[in-house]
Amino acid sequence: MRVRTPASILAAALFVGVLTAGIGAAGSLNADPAPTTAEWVSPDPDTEALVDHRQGVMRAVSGHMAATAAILLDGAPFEENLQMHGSTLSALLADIPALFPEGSAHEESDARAEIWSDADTFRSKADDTAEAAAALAAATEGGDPSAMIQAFSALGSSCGACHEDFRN
Amino acid sequence: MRISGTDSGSSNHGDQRTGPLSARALISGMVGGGAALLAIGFLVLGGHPAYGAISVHGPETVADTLAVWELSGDPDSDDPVERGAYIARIGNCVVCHTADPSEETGFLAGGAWIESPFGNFYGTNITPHPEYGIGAWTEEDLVRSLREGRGPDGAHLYPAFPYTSFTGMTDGDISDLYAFLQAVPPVARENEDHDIAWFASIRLGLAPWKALNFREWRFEPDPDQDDEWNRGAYLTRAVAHCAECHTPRTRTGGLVEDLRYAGTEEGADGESVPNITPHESGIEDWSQRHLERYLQIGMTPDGDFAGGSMADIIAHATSFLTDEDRQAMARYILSLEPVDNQVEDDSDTGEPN
Repeated sequence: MRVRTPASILAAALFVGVLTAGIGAAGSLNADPAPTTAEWVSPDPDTEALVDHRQGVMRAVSGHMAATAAILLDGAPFEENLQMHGSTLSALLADIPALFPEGSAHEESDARAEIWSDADTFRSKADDTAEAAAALAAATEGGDPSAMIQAFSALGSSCGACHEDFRN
Repeated sequence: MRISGTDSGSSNHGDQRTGPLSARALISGMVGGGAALLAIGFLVLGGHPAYGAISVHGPETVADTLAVWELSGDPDSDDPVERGAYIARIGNCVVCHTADPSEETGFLAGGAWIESPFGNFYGTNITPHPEYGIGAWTEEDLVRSLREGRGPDGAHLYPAFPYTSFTGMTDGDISDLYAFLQAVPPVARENEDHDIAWFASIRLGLAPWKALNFREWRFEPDPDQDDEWNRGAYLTRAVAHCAECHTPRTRTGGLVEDLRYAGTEEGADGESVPNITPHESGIEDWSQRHLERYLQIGMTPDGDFAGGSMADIIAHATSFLTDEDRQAMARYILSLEPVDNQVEDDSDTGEPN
């Protein structure tokens, strides 16, 4: 199985939960026990699943960035969530190249071929982003406003820098 | 004053009021309670160093971005060079006129290129180098190029240099820009020939092009609008020349007036350029705050960070807007007539991948 990030593990767990609940609601006709993740997750996920997954991760990143900006820059009164947003961003962005395995180009994806043909540069930009996200997480631990804002801005810059070369 | 930059290697950070460095200095004095949060937000993000590492074409080094930093300018300075630096910033001179803002080639020394259906146009050396740059230009020469699209010898200039917008600039701003351009370090870098189709390579063809597509105009404030709106209109239309990329072009390369600011799928460098009018197919659901934030750090309302040409323009131009000017530009753009033009989103503002 190819689940690699805490977010996808969480998603898988939720999915199992929903599945289990569904089976329960259907009554006791089906006597089989709920499948474990090891049984129902395809060992060889198709490209569409990979694309859906990474687009979901990227949308999650956008959502956390938008929420962080609203708190940090516009004063939305959710300061207590900054650490959660920071650590979640760091977790989501810890290994971006893992979201783009070889052969996962897809017509519905905006991923450029350079992700695979210039993998070293992609890895380097992804590392920049992972570092910037970790720095934001650290800054939200510290709680210093200027440090958080600088870290947030740096993370945003690193997003744009990678999108510039690797996203259509 | 003279600007220290790529060639001299010295620094004049202390002079800058509107750039990110001064913002950082401000921050260090403001750190404290949560009350400072709001105020800090808009100050600190004025051009982050990491943004300086993005360019259209060509390599760069960290040292470059420092040199570029120093030139943030100040529209309220008593020094025409400082005011001119600001105009150069907001006019986005850097992105087209700096290929590799490194010690080797230099800031504003030309060499970046812009792809068009007519071929590739190279940004020229606009440092005051007497032979390779514009060191021999008089102020009148600069006025003629910006207002009339003509070189010092009277030859027509290619409209890849957007004099179609710059023509609207005020005398004062052009004069300040001249002072600034004569103050940057001269760089001995020879211009390359444009790499363009044969039919476009004959400059004589530019005369009918201009007759068709170019009108000299001067920005006139709208008396029915207040100063802020007029400032935004001036910056957007003349200096920042937003329409040049955000408007589809005719087959001869003129702007389609009915679709001004309404975006195009066939923009420069083959990019899709979004509709920036407040229409449903444009940025109707963006608030003033959203647009200001985008101009400042490149974040869209849904938390995405664009790449592509606009990332360069944000890094090297709009992130240097003063708070007042950023507000004014955002307000003007959001006051544009909504134009229905759905642009397929194949490039930098689309769904996350």
